[in-house]
Amino acid sequence: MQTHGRGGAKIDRRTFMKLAAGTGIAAASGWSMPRAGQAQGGTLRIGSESWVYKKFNLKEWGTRFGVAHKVGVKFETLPDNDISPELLTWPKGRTEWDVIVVGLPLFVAPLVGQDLLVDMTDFIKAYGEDRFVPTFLRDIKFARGTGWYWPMVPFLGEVIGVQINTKLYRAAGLVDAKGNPKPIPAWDLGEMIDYFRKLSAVTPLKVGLGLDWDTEFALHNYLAPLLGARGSIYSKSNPRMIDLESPEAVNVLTLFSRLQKEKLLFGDIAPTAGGSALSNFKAGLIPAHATTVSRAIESAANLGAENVSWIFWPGADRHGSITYTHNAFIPKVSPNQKLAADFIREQVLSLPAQVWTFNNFGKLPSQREAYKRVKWFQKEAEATLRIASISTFEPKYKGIAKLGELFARETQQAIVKGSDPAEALANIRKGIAAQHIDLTLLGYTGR
Amino acid sequence: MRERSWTALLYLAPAVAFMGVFIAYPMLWSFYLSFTRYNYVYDPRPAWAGLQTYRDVLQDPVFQTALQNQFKFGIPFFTIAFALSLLVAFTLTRISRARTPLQLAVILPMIIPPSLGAIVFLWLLEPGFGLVNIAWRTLLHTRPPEWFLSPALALYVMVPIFVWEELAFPMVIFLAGLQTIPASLYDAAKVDGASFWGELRYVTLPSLKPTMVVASVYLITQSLKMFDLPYVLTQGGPANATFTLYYYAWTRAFKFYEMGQGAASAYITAALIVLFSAASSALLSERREEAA
Repeated sequence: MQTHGRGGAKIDRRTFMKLAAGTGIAAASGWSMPRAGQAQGGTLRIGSESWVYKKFNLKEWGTRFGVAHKVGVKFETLPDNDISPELLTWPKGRTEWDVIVVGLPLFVAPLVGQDLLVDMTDFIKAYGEDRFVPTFLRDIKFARGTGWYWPMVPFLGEVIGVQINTKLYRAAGLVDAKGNPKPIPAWDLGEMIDYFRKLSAVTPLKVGLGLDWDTEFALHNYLAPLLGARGSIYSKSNPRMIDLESPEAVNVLTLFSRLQKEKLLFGDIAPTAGGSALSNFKAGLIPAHATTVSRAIESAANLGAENVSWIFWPGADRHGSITYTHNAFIPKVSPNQKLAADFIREQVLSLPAQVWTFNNFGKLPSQREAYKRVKWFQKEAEATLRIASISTFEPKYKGIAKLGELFARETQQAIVKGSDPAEALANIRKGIAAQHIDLTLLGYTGR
Repeated sequence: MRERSWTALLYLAPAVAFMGVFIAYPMLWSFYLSFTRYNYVYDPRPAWAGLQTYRDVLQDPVFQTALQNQFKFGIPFFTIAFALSLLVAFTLTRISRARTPLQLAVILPMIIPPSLGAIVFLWLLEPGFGLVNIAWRTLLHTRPPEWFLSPALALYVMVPIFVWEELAFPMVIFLAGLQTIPASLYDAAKVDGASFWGELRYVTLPSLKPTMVVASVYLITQSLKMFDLPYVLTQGGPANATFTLYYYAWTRAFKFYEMGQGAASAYITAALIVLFSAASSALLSERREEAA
């Protein structure tokens, strides 16, 4: 039997069968070659988000580890706040990383829920739990059976506050006799608006406060002032539900809404990576910016350390602020768990790494000892450590993504469209019920 | 014939395998998922829900907002992009000087990834030091609008940005269409005493009807698929003012892990693309038959 190829060339059946068999063998060989997700002996595979490589200098520490242990180190960049890559491979027994060095417990919770992470409780106890900032360890406690465990290790922390341009504060007359910035007045809305109005008068853009209000930071920047005002972020009528009804809650939203109405607010709803409010602060165009306090040290590179500081929302000295951690964790399916654990211990938690990140980018070290070794902003660092130690983290609701979207939508209505703040909060409460948003708490709720 | 079919099969096999794995299988699987409830983090397997998933999506106020936003965005985008691409193509057939720079200016955005283009405009419209706002303050001595923070403005600000990104392809289609119109038709029109506008009305536009169908389908599809701008610039805000259908599908599938809802909303969007494209094609074909 013969077949005709292109242009009339004849291929006989035997040749055809040889070609088909060859293709099949080639395909089978390709199948047996190492696939993505398979272990690579003698190589530590590190995954992290792009900002960690910059702000934590991860490649430096990874490379040092590789040299010290004579192993290869492979770095890969992960998408921000997205655990889909892990979710799609780890349950199938494959992983492209031996250790992930980034991750808020809030976003990593689904991986914990599926029991995909190595238990790091013994690791932390052996390392010394007293070495860590206590709140940071509480943030990563997850329930197991009737008890709890730590499935990750905190290496960085963040606290919500307000970074300020002290030069503009001096120009506005908002410093005391010693030159310290005056705190934001406590919850007389008229006084608070006046405070920001004074700042706006000396600012090129004529605004008093920059505010990050995207789907992630809206909750941070709502709960932080609320915590200062009330001493709790939870509702009195339902202790597991964030407060969306108290007079203090309405006040927080009303403050931002009125600031916007009086054109004193610089709102930023783009993802925080876009950082419009941050960029304008760094350019000296806005005097205060509600965000994580770590941004102040970034801003110091532009404005000069003598012109930058940070303060907290009223009441933070008694009740703390909102805090969260970034963590390192190891997938159970990694064949290099010991190597990954050694890397975390020797490099990620090393004091040089911890101090480096604070000195260069203001990220809070997870260990108390590091705060004594920072090269600048010592006063602020010590104050921040005190505040962090009494701070609260946000509840790890199962439906936090849906809640974040609903919350951002309704509160943006109140702030930019000027709708009634109390009504906005009521709409959020109704939306939680209507959309069946799951408020099951994933973190450990005991002490 | 049988002998030829072996060879044909051999040559087709890799392409068929590729399409099967990367196109057919995902389509069939996602179509199935669209009839299920499936949170791929917490559910061990999809649970059949029939049309309920589609009902849930259609009744979701956020989806309804996204649908309204598509019309609010799509109508001005389509009108401007269609007219402008035709105008540019027509101009390119008429000029010799400045032809290349004009072509480059229109085609260059095509090679820039849409998300990067969005970032460029994020900086141009940056409230503090964006060029647009600096020019506004300098020339008009007033405070510029809050382009992306205003629910009334944000979606419409995206229209010129998206036109800039999407102008090239329909322009190329129109250019090709214009170049296929026989010169004899224009000669005949001249002989009959047609003016420039007469030629345009009785020769150019009718001859371009098939091309218009292609350009319309492309622009409708692109406008319904808009995702990069809300993702980079506004996250669908402020207050869902820039939530689009694709952004909705993405949030459901990859932020909420609700694959069933994500798939259902994607198929509803696909149905709308088919519907509007078919309507556009039928409308233009009708007019062509009437003209004939």
